[in-house]
Amino acid sequence: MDNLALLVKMTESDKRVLIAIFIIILLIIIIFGYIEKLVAYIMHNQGLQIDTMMYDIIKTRVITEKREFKKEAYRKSYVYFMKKSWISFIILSAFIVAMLIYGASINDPSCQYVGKAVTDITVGLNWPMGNFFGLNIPINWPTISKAPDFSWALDKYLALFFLIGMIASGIVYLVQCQALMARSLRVRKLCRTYFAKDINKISTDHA
Amino acid sequence: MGEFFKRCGIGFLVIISSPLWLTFFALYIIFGSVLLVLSPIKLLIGLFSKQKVTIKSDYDKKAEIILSSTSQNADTNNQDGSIPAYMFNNAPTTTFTSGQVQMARQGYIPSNNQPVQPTYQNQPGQTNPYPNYSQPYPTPVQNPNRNNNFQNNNPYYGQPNYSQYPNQNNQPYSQNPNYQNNNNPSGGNNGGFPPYSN
Repeated sequence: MDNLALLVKMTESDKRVLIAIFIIILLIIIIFGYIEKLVAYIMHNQGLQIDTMMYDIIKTRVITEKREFKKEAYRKSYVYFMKKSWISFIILSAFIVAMLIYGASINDPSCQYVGKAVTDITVGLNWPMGNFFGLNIPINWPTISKAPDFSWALDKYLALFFLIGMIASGIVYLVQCQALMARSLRVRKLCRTYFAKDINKISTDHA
Repeated sequence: MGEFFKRCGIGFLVIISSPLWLTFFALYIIFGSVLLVLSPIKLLIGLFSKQKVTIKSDYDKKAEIILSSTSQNADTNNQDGSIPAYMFNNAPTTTFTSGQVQMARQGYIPSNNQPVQPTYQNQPGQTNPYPNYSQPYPTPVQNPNRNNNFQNNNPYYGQPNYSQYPNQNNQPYSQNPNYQNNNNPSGGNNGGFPPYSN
C-alpha cells in the first residue's frame, strides 16, 4: 500500500523517468540475451574443431576409451591454440613492452601519457545530473564540454598507435582464448555423450 | 512472445552470473598465456627428444592406415563406380578378394584356369541378344509334371548355380515341402484341400 501511495504522490515527470529507466533496463537485458545467443553460436562453431580433429580417430575406433579420448583431444586443442594464437600473442606482448619502454624513456613509468592521449582525442560530455529516489542519475541529454584535439604530439600518436595495436591483437588473442574454452567444453560434452553407457543406444542399434 | 521472454530471462541470468563467467574467461586467458609462454620450452624439449609438437599424432597415423586400407578395398571392388562409397564405408564385411572380383567379371574359373563361362558378345549380324549356351552350361529344363509357375519358368531349376561365388553354398534350389502347390486341389497338404493337419 505504501508503494501505491508513493506512485500516486509521484509527479508526471517522475513517472516518465521511471518508465524510461525501466525500458532502458529491459533493453539492456534483451541485448545481453541476444549477445548470449551470438556467443553460444560462435562457441558451438569453434568447438566443432574438435570434431574435425578427432573424427578419423573415432571413426576408425583407434581410440575407444573415454580417458584416452580426453587426453588426446585436449592435447590437440592446446597445440591448435598455440598454432593459432602465437602471432597475436607476440604482437600484443611487443606492443605492451614498447609502451612500457617508451613510458620509462620519458620518465612516465605508469604510462599516464596513454590516458592523456585518449582524453585528448575523445569528446568531452557534460551530463546534467539529478536526484531520483536518492540516486544521482543523468536527467537530460549531455552537452559537449570539450572538442577532440588532433594537434600533433609524438606522445599522443605513439600512445594511440600502441593502443590500437594492443586492441587489435588483443581481440584476436581473446577470440582464440574463447575458442580454447569452447573446445574444452566440447570435449567435456563429447565425453558425456559419445562415451556414455546408454542402454537406449543398444536398443536402437538392434531395433 | 515466448522467445522474447526467454531472451529476457537468459539476458537477466547472464547479467546476474557475469562475475562467474568473467572469472572463468579470465582464468582461460591466463591459462592460454601460460600455455603460450611454456610452448617454447615444450618445443625445445621436443627438439631434443625428436618428438614433434604437432596436431597429428600416432593415433592419426593409425587412423590413416585403416582408412587408406578401407579405401583401397573400396576401389578394388568398385572400379566402375557403380556402387556408392557409403556402402563400403558402412558395410561390415568388405572382404572381396581380387579373385572374386575377377570371377564376377569373367565368370567362375576353376583351378585349371579353363574358363567355363565365356564372356558372351553378339557376333556381327547376330540379332539374338541372348547367348548361345553350350556345354558344360546346363540345358534348360521344362518339367511339365510340375505345376508350379516359378519352377517351370525357371529353366535352370535343379541345376547348379554357376553364377554364385564358389565360397557360397553352391547348391540347387531345394523344394520347400511346406509350400505345396495350392493351385491343384488334389495336391497340397497331404492331398486335401483345404489343408488340414492330423
